[in-house]
This record gives sequence, C-alpha cells and structure tokens, in this order.
Amino acid sequence: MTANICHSALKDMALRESTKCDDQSKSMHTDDTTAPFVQMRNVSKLFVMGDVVVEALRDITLDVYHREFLVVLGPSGSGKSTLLNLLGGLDTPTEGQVLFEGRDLAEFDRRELTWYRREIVGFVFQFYNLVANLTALENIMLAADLVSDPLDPVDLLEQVGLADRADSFPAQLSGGEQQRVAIARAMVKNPPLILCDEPTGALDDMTGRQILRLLLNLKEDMGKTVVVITHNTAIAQMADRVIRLRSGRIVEVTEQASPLPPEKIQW
Amino acid sequence: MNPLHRKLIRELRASGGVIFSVILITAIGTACFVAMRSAHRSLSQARDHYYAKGRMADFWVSVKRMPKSELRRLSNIPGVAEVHPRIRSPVTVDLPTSEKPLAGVVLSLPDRGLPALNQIQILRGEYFTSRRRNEVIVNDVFANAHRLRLGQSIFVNIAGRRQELVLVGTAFSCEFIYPLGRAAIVPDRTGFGVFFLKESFAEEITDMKGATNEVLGRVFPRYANSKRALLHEIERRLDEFGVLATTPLEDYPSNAFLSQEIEGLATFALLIPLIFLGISAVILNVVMTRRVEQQRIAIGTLKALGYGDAVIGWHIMEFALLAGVIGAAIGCGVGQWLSAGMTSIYRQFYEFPRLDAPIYWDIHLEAILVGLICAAIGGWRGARTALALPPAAAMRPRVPASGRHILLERFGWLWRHVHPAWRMALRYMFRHPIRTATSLLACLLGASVMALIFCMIVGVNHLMDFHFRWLYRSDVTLFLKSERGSDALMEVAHLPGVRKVEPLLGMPVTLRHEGKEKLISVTGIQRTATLTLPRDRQGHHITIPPTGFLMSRQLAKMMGVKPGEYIDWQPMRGDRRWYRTQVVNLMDDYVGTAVYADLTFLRKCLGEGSALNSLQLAIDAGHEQRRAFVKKIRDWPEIEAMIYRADMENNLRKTLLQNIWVILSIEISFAGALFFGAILNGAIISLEERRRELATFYVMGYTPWQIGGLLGRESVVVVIGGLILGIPVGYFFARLVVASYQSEVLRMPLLFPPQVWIQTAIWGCLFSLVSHFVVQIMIHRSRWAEAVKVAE
Repeated sequence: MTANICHSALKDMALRESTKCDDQSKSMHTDDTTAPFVQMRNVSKLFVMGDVVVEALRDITLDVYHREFLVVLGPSGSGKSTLLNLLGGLDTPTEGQVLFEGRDLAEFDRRELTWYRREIVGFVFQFYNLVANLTALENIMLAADLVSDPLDPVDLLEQVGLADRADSFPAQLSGGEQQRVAIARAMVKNPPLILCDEPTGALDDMTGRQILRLLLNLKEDMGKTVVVITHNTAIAQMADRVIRLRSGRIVEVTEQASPLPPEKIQW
Repeated sequence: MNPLHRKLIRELRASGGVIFSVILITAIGTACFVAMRSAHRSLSQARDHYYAKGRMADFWVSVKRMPKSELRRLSNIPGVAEVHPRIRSPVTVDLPTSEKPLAGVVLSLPDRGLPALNQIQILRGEYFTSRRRNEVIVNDVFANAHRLRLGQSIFVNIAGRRQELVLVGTAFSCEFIYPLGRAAIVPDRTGFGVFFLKESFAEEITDMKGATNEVLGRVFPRYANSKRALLHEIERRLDEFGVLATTPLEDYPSNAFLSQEIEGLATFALLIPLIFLGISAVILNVVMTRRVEQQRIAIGTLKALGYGDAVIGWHIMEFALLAGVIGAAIGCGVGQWLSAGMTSIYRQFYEFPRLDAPIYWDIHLEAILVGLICAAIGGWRGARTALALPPAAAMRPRVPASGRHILLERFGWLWRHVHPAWRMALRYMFRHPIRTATSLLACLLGASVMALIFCMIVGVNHLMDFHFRWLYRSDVTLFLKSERGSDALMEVAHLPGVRKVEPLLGMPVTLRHEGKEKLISVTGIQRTATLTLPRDRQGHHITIPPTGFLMSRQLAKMMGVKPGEYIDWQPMRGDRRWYRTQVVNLMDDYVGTAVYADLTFLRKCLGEGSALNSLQLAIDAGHEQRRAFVKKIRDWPEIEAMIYRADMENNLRKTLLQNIWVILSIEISFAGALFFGAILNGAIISLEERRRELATFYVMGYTPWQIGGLLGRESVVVVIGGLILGIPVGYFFARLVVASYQSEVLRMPLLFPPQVWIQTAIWGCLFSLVSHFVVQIMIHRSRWAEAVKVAE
C-alpha cells in the first residue's frame, strides 16, 4: 500500500517539477529516450595492490539511455561496483572512456566532476549510508542544500511514506525505512540519473519489493534513468535491459519488452 | 620480532596525525620540564657556588660615619658571626667612550689580600700591588663594555674631587651579579660600574681615615631566621653613628632580583610541564579508547586465540608508552636547546663569570619518567576497556549508538534555526562528551596561557609608561653630594639647554606604625611641581598635601596605615626627633615605594629653611643643546649621580622587551601547539570514525572543502568555547602571577584590556586554522570512492 501512495504522490510531484526544471543541463535529458545518456567505450579498470594487479573491468562498452531501468547483474567480484563508480564519476578508467553528453569524464576537472555528482547523479547504497547524527528529514535537507532548486524534503519524506518519522534518527528506523530515506535523499537534488548499489541487499523480500517499487516509480513517473547493480537475479525481471557481468566482462545483454512490476517478480 | 610488535609498529606508522599531536604535546611538556628545571638548576647552582666562593655577606649596615674601633660593639650580639668595615661611596665616571658622566659605586678592599666577606674574583689583570696607591679594579662587564685596558687611567669624581685611578684588573663580585645603579630596576652594563679601591686610598679620598660607612656581616646559621631582630639590635647599638639603612641578604637588590627569578622559575618549572603533560595524558586517553574501539574484533580474536589479558593489556599500553617515550625523547633534545637559550638570556641579565647549560642527566631521566607516567595514565583506560571485553562480545561489531536528541534540542525555537550541518556537528560533540571536553580543555589552557602572556606584555608596557612618562617626567635627575640651598637651583637653571628645574629634598627616615618599622626616604617636592606627578591607578594626578604625607599604596599596606591615620617618623639626620604626621592620601606606583611631602612642610619639620639635595631637570630636545649641557654638568663638582630618564627607559625596554619577545614567542608557540594538537587530534579521530559518512557526502556532490567545513564546524565550536572559557582562566592566571610580583621593589600591574582578548582570539584562531589546513589536506588526499562501501 505504501508503494501505491508513493506512486501517485511521485507522479504529482513529477508534474509539478517538470514545469520548474529550467536548468539547462538537466532539461536536455528529458525527451530523447533513444539517445545514449551516459556511454562507456572500451573501458578497462586495473587495481594495482602491491605486486598483484586485479583487472576489475575489461573492455566494457555500454550505453545508458534516458528513462531506462537498467539492471547490472553479476556475482560478487564481477566488477559491478567498479562499473557503478565509473558511471558516477567517482573513479576514472585505466583505459577507455566514460562519456556524458559526448564529453569524456576524464577531461572533467575537479569542479566539473563535483557538478556532475551533484546535479546529474543520485546514489542509493546497500547500507543506506545515512548520517547517524541527523534525523531522517535533516539527512534529506543536507543533500537539498547542494543544489539551487531542490525538491521539498518534507514532501519527499511524505512521498516515501515516512512523514511521521521525520524526527527519527537512523538508529531508530528499520532497514527499509532507512533505505526509503536514502532514496528520498538521492531524489531531493532531482538528478536525471539514479545509481543504486545493491539497494535491497540488506532487506527482506517484502521490504525489498517496496523499495524496488519506489525506484521503478522514479523512472515511470519522474522520467529518471535508474541503474541498479545487484547479484539478485530476480530483480532482473523488472528491468528494461539486463547486463550480465562476469569477471569484469559483459557476457550478456538482454532487452525485455515487458518487464514485470516488482510486486510480481519471483524473489 | 613478534607479530604483536610488528602490528604495533605498523599501527604507529598508520596513525600519523593523531599520534603526531600526542607526541607534539608530550614533547612540549617535556621540553618545558627539561628547559626550566635545567635553567633553574644552572642558575641556583651558580648563585650558591659564587656566594660560597666569595663568602657573601648576610647583612649590610649603612652608617653616616663610624670609627672602625666601634665595630666591637657588634661582636657580642648573639648570632653575629663576623663583622667587617668597608667604605662605600657613589661616584661619577668620565670615560672617553661616553659623552655623559656615568654612575658607579666605589668600594674599599684591603690593600693586601682578599677581604673576609664579599670577595672578588680577578678575571683580568691582578689584585692591588704596592706600586701605586690609586689602583682600581673594575667589574668585568663594565670594563669590557667600555673596552678598558689594564694600566689605563680612569677619571672619577668622588667626594667632590676629581681623581685619577689606574686600572690593574677586572673582577667579578658575587655582590653585583645583578648590578643595579641608583633608582634602576634592570642592570645597565654600560651605564653603571663598580670600582674597587685600596682601603687606604679610599679612606684618604673620602675623608674617612680610621672610619667606615658600611658594615658587612654574617650570622651563625642557626640565627638565620631571627636575622631581622638581630639587625634591629645592630641599629640600636649603632644609633649614634647615624644608621642610614640595614639590609639583610634577602633584601639586597642583586640577591632579591636573582632569588625572585630562581623561585619564579621553580614554580613555572612545575606548573607549565604539568599543564602540557596533563593534556597529553588526556588526549592519549581519548586516542587509546578510540583505538581499542577500532580494534574490538582484533582484540576479541586475539583473546579467542588464547592470548592472555596481560599480553593484550601490555600490547595496548605499548602504543601509549611508545608515544610517551618518543615525545619525551624529542622534548629532552628541544628542552636542552631551550635551556641553553634561557641561560644565554640570563647571562645578559646576571653577571656570572660562568653560567653554563650542562646536560643534567638526572633531569632528562626524570623527564622521560614523567612523560612515561603521563602516557601510562593516558593509555590505562584504553587497556582496561580492552581487557574488560569478553572475547565473544568483542568479536561482534559494536552495537550502533542509539540516536537520541541532545539537550540543546529542547530549545525548539532556537534549534529550528540551526542548519543541519551544525546540528550534525553539535550532536556529534554532545554524544562524545569526553572527547569534546578534552579538545575544549586543551584549547582552554592554550587560550589561558596566551591571554596570560598578552596580559603580561600589556602590563610591562603600562608599567614603563606609568613610571617613565606619567610619574617621572624629568629628562635628567641630579643627585647632589650634600644638601644645598636654592643657589644650586639657580646655578643649574642657567646651564645651557635647561628649560626647567625643580628641587627635591630626599630624607632617610624611620617610619613606625603599630609596631612596624621601616627605613625609607621621604621626598619633599614643590606642590606645583610638574616633573614628578604622583598618580592614582587610573593615572589621575594627585596633588601633594600642604601638610602630611602622600604614600605609595604598597608601603601603606606594609605599614598597615590607612589614609587619614597618623604615622610616626624619625629623620636619620639632624636632631633625630620623632614626629607624628597624617597620611593624607595614597598614590600608586609600580617600582619601589615612595613617601612624598610638601617641600616647605618637610623643610619646616627638619628646620632646614631652603635645603635641597637633588634636582629634576627638563632640558631641550636638540642634540647640540644636550651636548652643551652635558659638557657643563660633568664639570660641576656637586654631583653624586645623574640619571637620564631616556637612557634608563631605553635600557629597560631593550633588555626587558627584547628578551621577553624571545621567551614569549616560544611560549605563544607552545600555547598554540595546544590549539593545534587539540584540533588536529579531534578532527582526525572524527575523520577516521566518520569516513563512510563523509564519503557519502562526497558521492552526493560535496566538495572536499565542504567536507572539511563539516568537520571544521566542530573545531569552530571547540575553539570558540576554549577561547570564551580560557581567556577568563588566563585572567585568573594573570592574577596569580601578578600577586607573586608584588614585592617592595617591583609590582606588576594587572591589566586585561580588550586588546588581550582580541590578540588571544586571533592567535588561537590562527593556530586552529593551520591545524584545520592539515586536516583539509588529508581530506583532499582521501580516496572517498573506496571509503563509501567500507563497513563501519
């Protein structure tokens, strides 16, 4: 039920916000779903740890499109997190390019990279990464401070069904509640790209479904691009496209014409 | 090397900034300990050595004139071990190296062989020979300052006559380790000399054949505590010869200044290291508790593997002890260097033939032990926490701290206006009260030490302005050899360059009030005088009462007399009748003590119609006029001593402030290190503890500067809190220090103007900023993308 409330509320908000979105760089991404949004071209990533060289990603070429729900699937150590870090501008590839609007992220200076993380990307983590010392509402407000035109944190908290827990600290919230706060925190900056690192990894299946519904609503109602990395094959059923990784390589790309809603997927 | 030691060494390397701040503060504490205790020992050993070697007298009795044969009157006073006569006379010296006549004192020594007391130590040349009767030995520092050569003639004015003396040697005298000229408070190496003459020659030129005007003596050690009663008896027995002053060793200016410094140093040598080592122990405590928390699982695993409590406890303690040893070792080196620096400053003040800064190994050993004990105290809580953990509980991650609202949040209206970033900082601080209190305490002490230092600077400047610009305004003071009439005033008034002359009559008197007695000089000045302007503490001019006394507040306190009360006094010259006079008002001064009376009133009391014995002069500022004045005045035979206010002030400023700046810079750096260490330590622990949280901010789009700002908010609260609490504590310290400088010779004013607050705040913030800059560099270098997924 919570998910349905959220669904309609996010829809309302998206309507309101679409008229407000005058930021030039953001408005560029709202229409053309066929054009690649972020691209990876022959990307490899090596980690040198003393005498050992670990090849986390090998020759990855990948396009992420507007309004797409993309699931990157792979076992532990397959390079999922490295891929997400590269998409999010948190790391640079050893070889190849990560392109945003045709520009290589490697060419971005510190200031531009900060802008990219701030305006373009919203992160959701497996362990929520909430600030223990801030209440649910304050955690969202802290992210809202970063952008000139944020969404209303109180509205967002209401949208994720936590209006009555605004004054609770993370330690007073359940895992599902904390993840909902984390999603609201990622959303408050109104970024076009949401990157989720095992968002349901620490949750039971019932709560996990509610979180996935929220994420799907972000795509369907607000037109966001959502990239979820997970080792849970069930989640792949709700993706527009599934990319399977193994040992740092893309082994399979599947497009799904009729993805299942989270309520119907087999966990 | 066993694996635990390897682990320890790696941890020490990895702990970087945190351990650096502990080592820094321990090193400073140890450095202060070594420097101050070594300097204290050097100074007190040098004093004791030269006093013993030179057979320093226990008391001095100054009389007008007394036949030497009358000394036997003193020999049967119980407690008096020995007494010896000597001639002491003020002198002015003409030297080609100085335009102005210089001041000095002539002392007689036996023609052959060293005196029984206050022996000199020849440093250049030789003792008197039988070749000439006018041979002179000069104190070494003065001789060197004027490049006097052996065999050179020196011309002095003594007892109204110009005398030629021949230099045969230079010497050190234990009596003049801190050689003070008349009315001076710091030694003037070039302006004041000590001239030792043959007894026979001194008697001849001062008309003291068979007589003496000063008696030196020693008391038996068991009478040391009843010296004042003994001196009273001496005064009584020598009364008819006109006792001008009796001075026990404790009050003898050279010894009083030296001993005050040695005692002060002993107090500081205890207090300052205690502050620093105490803080380092508290910081170590925080660091160690945090370290045990970080290594919970490792400690649990070690226990599960079968390591005993003693081994694990020692492993935890080793970290603290190593920090203590490294800090103490660095501190010993720096302390030795500082001790040498302090000793070289002391050499400028005190004339010791040798004042070294040797390495006192026992002090270094003590310092290392004290450092270790403080480190052990600091590490103990961490070790205890580690030992108390049952292995199974230790291996489970710590239960997350429960989120709860802090006290401040009860002030709803106020809290609503606090930005989330500030809320985060405040909650973090309130939830780690010991850690916050530690940083606050360090900043508090840093601020208090700084405030104390700036307060002292303000005090010294005020003292000098008050003394040299407000109270004494004459350019030159002339002390005459004997009392003269108003003709002397006319004579001087007509000298070139003299703008104004005012007469003074100084009269040594005994004051008596409610059983207390004191020998002091009452100064008669004209009520209209402008070159001496007595003032109250606020600087308001106090007029001389037409009858009665105007007295220094300090002296009134010592005599137990209040304004409006009457005091008995007896002049040490003339008919020596006892008078009773009202103390009309009190004045404030910081150097020496004074009693002023209207000149006419004093003359009337003494029955001396127009007597004066010193003159205050205002002279033209022009160089040529001054030269002309000096040229004339040096030929005027009436002068006993001459004081140039500007010279005295410059000398004081030069010796005092120049050295103060060196010492103060070191002290400010040390106090700053408290700010630096506290902020660095707090921020680094916070940085380590909240790594994942801060990494999340980075991922969200915070710049490294903004992340620094989040940590900086905690530092800001600590620094502001430390300053707000520390400056009043500094005021309290200043009160303590000022209270210990309330002697008859010198009193420090207690001033705490806004400038002290501002300077302390600026310096405190500056050191904190430097510290935060280091943290900022660490933030910039952090690999946040990796930290974002690190398990907490």
